[in-house]
Amino acid sequence: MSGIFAAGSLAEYLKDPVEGWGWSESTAYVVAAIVHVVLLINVFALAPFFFIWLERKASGRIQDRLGPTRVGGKFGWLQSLADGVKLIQKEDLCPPAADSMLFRVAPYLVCISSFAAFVFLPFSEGWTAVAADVGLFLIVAILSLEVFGIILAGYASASKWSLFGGMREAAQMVSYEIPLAICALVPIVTIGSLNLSDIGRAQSGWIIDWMIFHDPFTFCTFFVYFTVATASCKRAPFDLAEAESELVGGFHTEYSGMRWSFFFMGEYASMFLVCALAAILFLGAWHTGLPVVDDMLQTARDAGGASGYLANLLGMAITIFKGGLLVFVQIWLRWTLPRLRIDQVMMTCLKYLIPISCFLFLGVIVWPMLWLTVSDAPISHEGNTVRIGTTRTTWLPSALGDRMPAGPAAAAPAGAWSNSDNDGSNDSSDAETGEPQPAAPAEAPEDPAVGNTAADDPKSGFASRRPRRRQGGQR
Amino acid sequence: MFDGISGHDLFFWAFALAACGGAVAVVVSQSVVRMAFWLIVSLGSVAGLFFLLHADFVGAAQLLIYVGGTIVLLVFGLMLTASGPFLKIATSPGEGILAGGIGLLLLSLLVWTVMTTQATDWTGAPPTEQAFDPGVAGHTTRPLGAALLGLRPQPASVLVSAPVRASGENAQMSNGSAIIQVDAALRAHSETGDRPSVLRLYLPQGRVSSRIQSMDADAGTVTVSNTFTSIRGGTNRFEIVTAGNVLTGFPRVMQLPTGIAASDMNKVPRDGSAMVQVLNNGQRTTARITDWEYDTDTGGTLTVDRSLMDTKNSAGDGQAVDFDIVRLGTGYLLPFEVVSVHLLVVLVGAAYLARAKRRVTAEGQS
Repeated sequence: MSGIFAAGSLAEYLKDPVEGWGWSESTAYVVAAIVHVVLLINVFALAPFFFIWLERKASGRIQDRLGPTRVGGKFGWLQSLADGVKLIQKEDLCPPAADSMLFRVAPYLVCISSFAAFVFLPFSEGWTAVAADVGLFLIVAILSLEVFGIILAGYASASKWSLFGGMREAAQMVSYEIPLAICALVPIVTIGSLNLSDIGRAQSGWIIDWMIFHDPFTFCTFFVYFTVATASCKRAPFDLAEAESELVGGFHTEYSGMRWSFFFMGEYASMFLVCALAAILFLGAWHTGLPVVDDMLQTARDAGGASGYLANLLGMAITIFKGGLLVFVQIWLRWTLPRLRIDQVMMTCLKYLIPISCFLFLGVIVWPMLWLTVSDAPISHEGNTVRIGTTRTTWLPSALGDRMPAGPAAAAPAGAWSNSDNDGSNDSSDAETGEPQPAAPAEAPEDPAVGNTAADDPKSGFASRRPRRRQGGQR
Repeated sequence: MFDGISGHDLFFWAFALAACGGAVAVVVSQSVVRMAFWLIVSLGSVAGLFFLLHADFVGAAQLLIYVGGTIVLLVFGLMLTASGPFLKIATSPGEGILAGGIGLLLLSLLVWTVMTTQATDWTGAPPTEQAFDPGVAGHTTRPLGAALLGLRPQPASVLVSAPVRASGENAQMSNGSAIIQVDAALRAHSETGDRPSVLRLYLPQGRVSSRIQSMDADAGTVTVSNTFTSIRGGTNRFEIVTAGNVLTGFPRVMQLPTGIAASDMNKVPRDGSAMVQVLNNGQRTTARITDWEYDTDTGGTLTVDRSLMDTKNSAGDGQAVDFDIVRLGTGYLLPFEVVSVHLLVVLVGAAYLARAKRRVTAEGQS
């Protein structure tokens, strides 16, 4: 059993003739892919299972009721299962006037697009089904597809309530995608990576090292993002697409049985998705925010083996817990706030959220320069991490071109960010000239040739790197 | 169990069929919304093809811009044309013939292009185990632009001078963990990424790779896991390690050592369409090969055009020369332009059709 923990990925373990099962390469990859998908589907399916129960319970408490109490003991925790059994038994209706193909396909579109985004979500250090360098961009792109299912469902039902719901959803989504993308840009420019694992990794340390506390702009961005994410899941107070008091059921008026429940599985899953994304982008991902605990977990990860798995499992629990907490806030909001009118929904987005997010985006770009100018903190440089003062760690993106100083030759020296002589032209490895132009380092005047230091010393490259141990992803 | 089928091929055919089938269905179906649905299928499958090529960013952009843009198309299609519950656009036979003729012309142009363009042999799987590393790979903008024009430089590789016992079909390291002397290029490549550090060796039979377990800075050695994965299909890439040969700057004429197969060398064209790359302490320099002379026994020389080279940092001593044979597929450019003009015409035509009241009939009244 120790072999499976030592292997870099499941596929490798299955291939390994000595420790593993010695399967052929393609068989190993197919089996590993199936295992990954099954694990993810479990997350995808269990999230709605839990959150539907939570929604019923929380709404009951907010309205001074008990909520479900009967199924599965005292707290009614099997209520979702009972719902599911009921829904499976229901007749699957398709109105005779409807466009039957589109009507039948629409719920699957919602479900598939919601599920596909989970593939790129890092649950813990290295635990991503597909580790993509542009993971965040991919998630935003895939989330924008969910609206198709809603519009098609609304149109194909051949009912005016459904069509109204679908059209409202289309208008709402097309508008809210803009602030959502801009808000997602803020962590990207702060950390300098589109890779969700990098974004998570950059937030290790104390709670104040989380992205939300990075600077005032990211703090505000978190709340804007959360508002927009709530709207993009068409949750109250933005649930104009279903608006049961005015549109009967909105886009799903004509649906019943399992197809109806697919819409809700998709909705609750994408609620969890945007909340987990918020946790990864702003709330420290799989880090607890206590360096003592995090360092212990990291040590266990580096050691590999079963303890590494356990540490990653704990990290995953932390990510899911943070996401779940935010989902609870969404539920809380839904049952305490009145629904907006459609014109108010559009006004909120176009008049307020887009300008605010643009301002925050600008602010977060200006912030590093501002911080460096104002503060007198000493700046040290180690790997990709720029440390200002003693506690605050931040990843500073270089202004242009190579976004991270990589390797010995690229060698962005600490002096490039020195606050004594910065004139804005301190990107050390400029793309266009092709020559490293280290700014004259104020801290290290004794070093005559900063640009060649690393190249001359072949050993310097290893110092700051930790070999990557565990990789959950497989391509 | 699945050895007969390459998963890559399987997915390629599935996505390709879905893309083509969706495109045909867009033309055939008469309902505006169904057209939009099939357009989603077709465009989404093209995004799938991009993902299959490990072009994540392009795939995501395809989803966000084209597939997402279809939403707007759909909404406007409904708003501009909705005169009944399920509107249909019927075309007359004459229009069908005209459209079919133009479509065939376009198809023949594309087929002609594909047949006449000499594509590089891309049998090797794309090297993707390593996360993007700007230190080694340089900027992606230029390769992307070049690739769009048909010029396809392979990503820079890690070149290692290593005692590898390669024999037969597979290269296996004999004992549990192999110690390999590494050069600076590898150290530059050991950037932490989302995927593990991988050591790649380019052998005449193809590429082998193995996961790096640890590195020792003092000894300059790297320990890799005990098995090399099987060699992936032989590419026409080969490497020349010029140990101790100091290259200052990028030379116009480079010495080629012996040992390169004449058949490999003959694949290098002399018209400036092949490129040579120098991996130099993590910096990559690319230039076009204008001429070469080669003799299997005595070695030879390589002449490059320095005025066209893509200069990066070229200080430091040379470690390895990596050949990439790519050809300029200039044939792609014209069809690319034709297709974009065609798309523009289609857009205008769609807007016209949508506004034209004459052919819009509610279901059951035609």
